[in-house]
Amino acid sequence: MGKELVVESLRLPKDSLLGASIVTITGNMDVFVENYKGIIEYTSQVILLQGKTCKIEICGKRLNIVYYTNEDMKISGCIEAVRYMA
Amino acid sequence: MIQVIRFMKGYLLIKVSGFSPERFMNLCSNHNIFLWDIENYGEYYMMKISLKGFYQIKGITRKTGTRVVITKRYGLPFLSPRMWRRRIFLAGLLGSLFFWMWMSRYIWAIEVEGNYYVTTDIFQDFLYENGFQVGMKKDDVVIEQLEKNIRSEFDIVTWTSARIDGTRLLIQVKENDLISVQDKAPEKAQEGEGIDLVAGKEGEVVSIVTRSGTPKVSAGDMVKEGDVLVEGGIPIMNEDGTVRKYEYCRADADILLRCVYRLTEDIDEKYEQKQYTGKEKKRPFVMVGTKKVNIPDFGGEYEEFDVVEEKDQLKLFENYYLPLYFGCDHIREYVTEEKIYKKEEVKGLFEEKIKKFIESLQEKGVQIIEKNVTINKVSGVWKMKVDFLAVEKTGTEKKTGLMQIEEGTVPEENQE
Repeated sequence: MGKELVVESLRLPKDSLLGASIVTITGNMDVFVENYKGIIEYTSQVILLQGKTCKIEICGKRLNIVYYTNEDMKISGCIEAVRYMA
Repeated sequence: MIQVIRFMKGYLLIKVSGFSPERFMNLCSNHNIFLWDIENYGEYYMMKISLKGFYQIKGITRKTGTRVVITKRYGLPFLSPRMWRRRIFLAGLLGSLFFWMWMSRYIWAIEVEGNYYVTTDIFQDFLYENGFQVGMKKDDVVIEQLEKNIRSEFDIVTWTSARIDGTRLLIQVKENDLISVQDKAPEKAQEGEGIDLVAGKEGEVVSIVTRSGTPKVSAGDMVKEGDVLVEGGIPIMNEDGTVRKYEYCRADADILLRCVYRLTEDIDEKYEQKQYTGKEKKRPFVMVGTKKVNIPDFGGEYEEFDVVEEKDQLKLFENYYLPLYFGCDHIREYVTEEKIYKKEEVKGLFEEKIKKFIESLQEKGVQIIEKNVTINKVSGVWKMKVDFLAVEKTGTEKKTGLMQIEEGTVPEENQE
């Protein structure tokens, strides 16, 4: 917990220091994910991503990966749920 | 922009199937291989990959045990093999492009605008002599030099402007509207010299008004051409009436002279006239440069005929003139008939000539008082003689012939 406190009090960017993933959702069409390790599962209904601290599950219909690089990725489709799993 | 770069470098649509495509994707991103437009189709995945990335995934596919199949190729590197099938078309396209560019380096039309007294024919001859002709390189056209040459060759041209519009050399000129007889530069009176006025024509002096100088004639005198009318010197007298010296000046006077102009004209009684029969043939032709290719004529030739040529130059857009002409020769048949002038016709022709002559005199400022016309026929030739009695202003400047009196002789007389 000490690390979090230091980051909080010094107002440092949390994503790079804590390894937190950033998920940006535009409407229910686009999801933009940064700070992740890789894809665990990809079907047209579910995309399961391995983040640095937790797993992120994106559920929906007709899910596509618009692009996929080491730093970030973009998913498009009809998004129904975003779930974090420890 | 990214799309363009991707297209230039080339990319592939691949089909990935096998044990763990997810692992394949993760490894790709770890190796900095860019993937996009990934879609899941249950059993397999479709995705796009750059051409460069595709060469690197061999190890990854072996490691992950996936199968990669190329479905479609995009981009410039794949374009040329496809274009190979259309190589003739491509060569034609490039050839024509090169051809147009090469053609646009030459002058294919020369136009002269604004010339009235100097005919276009004369202009074209002049341009040809100076090396300006259709088909010359644009780089060889030195506009400043051309403008200068035109102005020095034709005195009447007061202003020229040449410019190149596309493949056309356009020369605009302005001519001096006052074509009046160029006045000779007035003789310069040097220090100690006078200028006389002399008669320009034989005749009778009607009136003389002298502003400066000494009048030598008075109204009613007959003068011959070259006679001094007003002397450019004023004599200064001694007390005994002899001339002591001359005060030189420039003679200036209005002198009206009554003189005779004569006009004689001959016209042959017989003349030939073209009588068009109304028959006309059209012969279309194509002209490349100066070479004319007529479409062969199958009809019989006329015995006597005129040819009127009508042609159009081919041009691209507004100013890209090409050395290609299309046109039509109109061949008109005629028959020559010998005719004899009637008296009324001859009179009309002569009257026309008299009118023209009078006009030319009036332009010079000659006033016509009387005219005597005699027309007669001598052995088949109509002869006309016209005497005009006219009044005109005369007096041309000439250096005076007055000799200054030697000063040395004067005191001698005084001593006596």
